[in-house]
Amino acid sequence: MKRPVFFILGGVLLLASAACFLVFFIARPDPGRVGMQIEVKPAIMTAAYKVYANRNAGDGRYWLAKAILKNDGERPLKNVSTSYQVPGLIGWTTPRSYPEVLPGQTIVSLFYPHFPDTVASKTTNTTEQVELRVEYDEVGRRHQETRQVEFQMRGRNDMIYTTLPAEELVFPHDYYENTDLFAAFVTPDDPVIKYFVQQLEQRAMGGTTVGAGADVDEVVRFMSTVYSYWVASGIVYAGTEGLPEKLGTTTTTIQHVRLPREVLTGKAGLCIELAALYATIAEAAGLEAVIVTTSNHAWPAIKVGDNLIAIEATAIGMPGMGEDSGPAPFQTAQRYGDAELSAWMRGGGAIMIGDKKVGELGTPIAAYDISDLHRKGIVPPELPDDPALRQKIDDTFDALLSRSGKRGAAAAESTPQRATRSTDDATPAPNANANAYNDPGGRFSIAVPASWRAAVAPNPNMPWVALQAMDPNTGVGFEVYVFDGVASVPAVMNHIQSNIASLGGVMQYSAQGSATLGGKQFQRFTGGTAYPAMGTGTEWDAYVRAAGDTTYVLTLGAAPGRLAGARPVLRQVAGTFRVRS
Amino acid sequence: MKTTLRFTALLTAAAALFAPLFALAQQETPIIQQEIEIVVDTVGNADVSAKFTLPAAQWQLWKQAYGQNESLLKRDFQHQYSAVVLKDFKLERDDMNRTATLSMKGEANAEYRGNGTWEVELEKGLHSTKVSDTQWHFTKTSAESGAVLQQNFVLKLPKGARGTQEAVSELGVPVLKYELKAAHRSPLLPIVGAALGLLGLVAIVLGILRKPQA
Repeated sequence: MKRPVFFILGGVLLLASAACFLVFFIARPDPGRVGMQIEVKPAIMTAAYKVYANRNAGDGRYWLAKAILKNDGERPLKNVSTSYQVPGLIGWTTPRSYPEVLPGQTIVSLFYPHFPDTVASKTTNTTEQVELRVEYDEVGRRHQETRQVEFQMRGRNDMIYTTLPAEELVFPHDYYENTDLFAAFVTPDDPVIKYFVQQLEQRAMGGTTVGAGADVDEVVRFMSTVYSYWVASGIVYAGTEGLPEKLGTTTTTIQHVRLPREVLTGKAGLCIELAALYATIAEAAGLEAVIVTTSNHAWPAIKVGDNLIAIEATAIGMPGMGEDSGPAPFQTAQRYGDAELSAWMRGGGAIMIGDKKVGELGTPIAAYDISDLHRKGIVPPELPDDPALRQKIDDTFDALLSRSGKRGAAAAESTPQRATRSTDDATPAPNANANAYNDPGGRFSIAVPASWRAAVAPNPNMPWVALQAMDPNTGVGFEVYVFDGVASVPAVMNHIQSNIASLGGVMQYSAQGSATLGGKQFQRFTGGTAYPAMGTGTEWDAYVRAAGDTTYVLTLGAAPGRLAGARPVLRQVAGTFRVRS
Repeated sequence: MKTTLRFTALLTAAAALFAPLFALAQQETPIIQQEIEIVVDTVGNADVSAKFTLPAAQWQLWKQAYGQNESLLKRDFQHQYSAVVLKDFKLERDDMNRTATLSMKGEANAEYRGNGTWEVELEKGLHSTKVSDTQWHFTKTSAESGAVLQQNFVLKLPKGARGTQEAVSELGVPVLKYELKAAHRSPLLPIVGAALGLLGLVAIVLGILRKPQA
């Protein structure tokens, strides 16, 4: 080969080599580049501030801000970090670090804000700002980008029903997309509510409690006691509807919902507020509550095993709405609640009690299992104790109980010496002008004064009332209760008390030692029963005996202020009372 | 905040498909089978498809719930799986066979931990079977309000995935870890350039050493 050929070949190869290096260095990949998209909730509910802090609540859906970062470049981004702050409320969060983000890779950074507990007192709406800071290394330099987006922080009483953009609202459920957060308005751990339940158990339930494992009867008794307290304390159904507001691109229905403590002490509530209060009290007592909702209504129910016992809480009446219908008895409220629940299960339509249509149900939306939602992180705010609200609760209980308490005190004053001693003198000779009544079952007998009117088993809903007798001129009278299959004085007294409570009454009593009637030992009580809504009441003495598998009760009563004067007659009647066991 | 892979979460999210059924009282306990396939790519994104067949009554109820509002399904998924960017939803219904297939793409399904290590967050209660480093099978049976949901997952990792193993993340969440070296720029061009340069030099040296012809 000739010499010039080697030079030419060598030159060409060197040129090709240079071209390779040139292409390699000139055609370098693009540097890493961050494509950033940030989403911020247009508004958040202060009542649910603890929910937003929990990344596990609602499967993580309650974030405040979400940054989607994608490396749109051709080289990796190194040491990427994201951090958030809400100026004035939350300082910069500990950066979330990503060692490397590869070309084409996407990362999602969610912000679950930990607001301070002080926001639980926030009652006004404010516009706040969430700031996102993204940092990363590229080409040996540290880059930083910051974005700010505004959001509304609603007052603690605002319930946001949906966060969907207006154009997405088509079906009924679209309007209630955010309503799991309603569980944040059920506040069983509120110290004020806990105090109320404690007082209720001590002062209206004779120290009895319910809780997990309670049977249907116990739960119903508890529900009726709560309902009766509401009626007696004057809680009414009153309020306003939710008003649509526009939040950024979102049209939502926001409703002002008072917290249970506010409804309890303010003594007025919407259906949703009364449902929340009922559920709160039940949860605080250890029961599990459900709130059933339709497009225009809500009512509470208590879980007992697989069953739900519903109650129409607004049956307490609605004076605030200009319909002074007054309170319905507990049984009516419960029957109505169950009828609504049945209609709800059928998908809406007529509310039927027996064959009678009593109303029309709106579109069923959801049944919120409060305990379950709380377990899943949809929890209420941390509310501080409030001595003023406790005092209000005390005042209400005192006022309710003083009505019957004063009467009881008057009765006690008139018979102080009988308070504890054995009252043989309560068994005088039977009155000659009397008709002997013998129970058909042979369980008891008693003499009824001739001028009195008597009724045997007068109320089929209260089968334990065996005999009722009264002087039509004075209102003085007696009742005999027989509880077959029950041999417990406290249980029977609780049952009577609950039953009176279910009728809207308040019963207060105290033990007064023992007494002998017909040679048998009885426990003696004095007490009073008041029906505030009806303005009526009774003072009474009672003799109770549990023997075998039966408990006998003889109550001797008179209108308030008349018991002391009626005692001589009533003692004569009591002296004729004989029981089988 | 943890944003590890949610691939199985995506799949079990398909249980949400049946929520309307579970909300209603069942005369008999239906058994619903679901076949789910997840194919993860080299940057942690995944193609997911879930196929299921329902008994007649359940099919009717399911259609009532989502048949008129399929976007509700998309919204429910997006709400439940906030840490994943879900897109390209597609629902194919086969009414004749009461079968539906839901497919979607999920970005940020796997999280890169650096040094070639990736993590996929796993649902609790899964039974796993390792077929190979790039293919795992998972099963889960759950009782959902009176129904029995049987889910069979097939997870396919990208080619080159190695050392796949179940582990627990720093936050105590079960994860599937695997190694996958990030693709780097090919050094072929400078190698070829160097070789050509060397050959050129050799040619020139040979030319110098060769005696000129008379």
